Amino acid sequence: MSSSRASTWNKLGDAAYAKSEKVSADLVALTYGSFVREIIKDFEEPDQVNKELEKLGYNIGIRLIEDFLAKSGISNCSSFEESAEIISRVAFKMFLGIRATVSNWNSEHNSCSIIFDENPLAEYVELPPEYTHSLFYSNLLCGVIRGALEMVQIIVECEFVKDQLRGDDTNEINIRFKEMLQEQVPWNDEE
Amino acid sequence: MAITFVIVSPQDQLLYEATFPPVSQTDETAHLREFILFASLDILEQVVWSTRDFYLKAIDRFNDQIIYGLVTASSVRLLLVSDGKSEEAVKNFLQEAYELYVKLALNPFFEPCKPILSTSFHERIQKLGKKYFV
Repeated sequence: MSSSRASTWNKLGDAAYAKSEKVSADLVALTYGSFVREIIKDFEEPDQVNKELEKLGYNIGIRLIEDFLAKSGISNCSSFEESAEIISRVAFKMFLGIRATVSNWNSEHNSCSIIFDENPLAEYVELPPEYTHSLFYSNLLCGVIRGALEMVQIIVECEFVKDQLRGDDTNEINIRFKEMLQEQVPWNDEE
Repeated sequence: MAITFVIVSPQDQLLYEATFPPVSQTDETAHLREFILFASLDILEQVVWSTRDFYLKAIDRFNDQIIYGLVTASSVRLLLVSDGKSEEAVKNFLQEAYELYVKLALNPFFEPCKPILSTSFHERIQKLGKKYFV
């Protein structure tokens, strides 16, 4: 990844962040917090809660991508690698105010990790002991990434591998490329 | 004698207790200090109307033991009993402990008026105690 493009993306991210409307970080953190609590109350099983959070994020993602592409000034991405860089440098900055880094590419270049040290969603949060090994508190983000990419024909799988709330040194979301949806030609009914 | 710090809920339940330096459970004076602290709650009720500050300074004494209090906006009481530690240190300790409590209360998994079991809160309070009293 050339450094000049990386810095262009950083600038785009900063510009989009500067332009976007801000809300109090506490408001977001506390709203999300009570939200997660409600879901835990409803579903009880941490695995199920993770799934629900992901689904929720997915529904955000498929809408958010439109906003992102309209306001960020990003034109089309040529590869999965580029998409990952843009998510971490532009999208994370634009919506969360943090910059993430992409690393841990595997040899086939179809899986990577987005790493970020600061997580505005998890501000003030301390997981109760019964959840520290099962709940991914910010699993919403995985869903957002999956949903957003699906709308631009990229099918991925996303999951948290490291979470500071579990005592890890950083937050890491793994993204695995699955397939590229082909734009389909409408079925020809004249034949 | 050691210093004891407690957090009491608006319904007078004990939410949290810490001693500096940490003492064993069998310490005889621990009961006495607890007793003194709870006895001072009635006086605190009166003192709280005499000032607009959260920090209430020394509210009560028992022999050479002085009880200091701080009442939060939601009338959670932070009390500390000591034998003549500097007033300034106590004030700073209570104010910083209050800040820690606020942070704790913002945790979405925090339940108001339930005993505080958070280990990180406990560690931070112990650190604070070391900073001011040891």
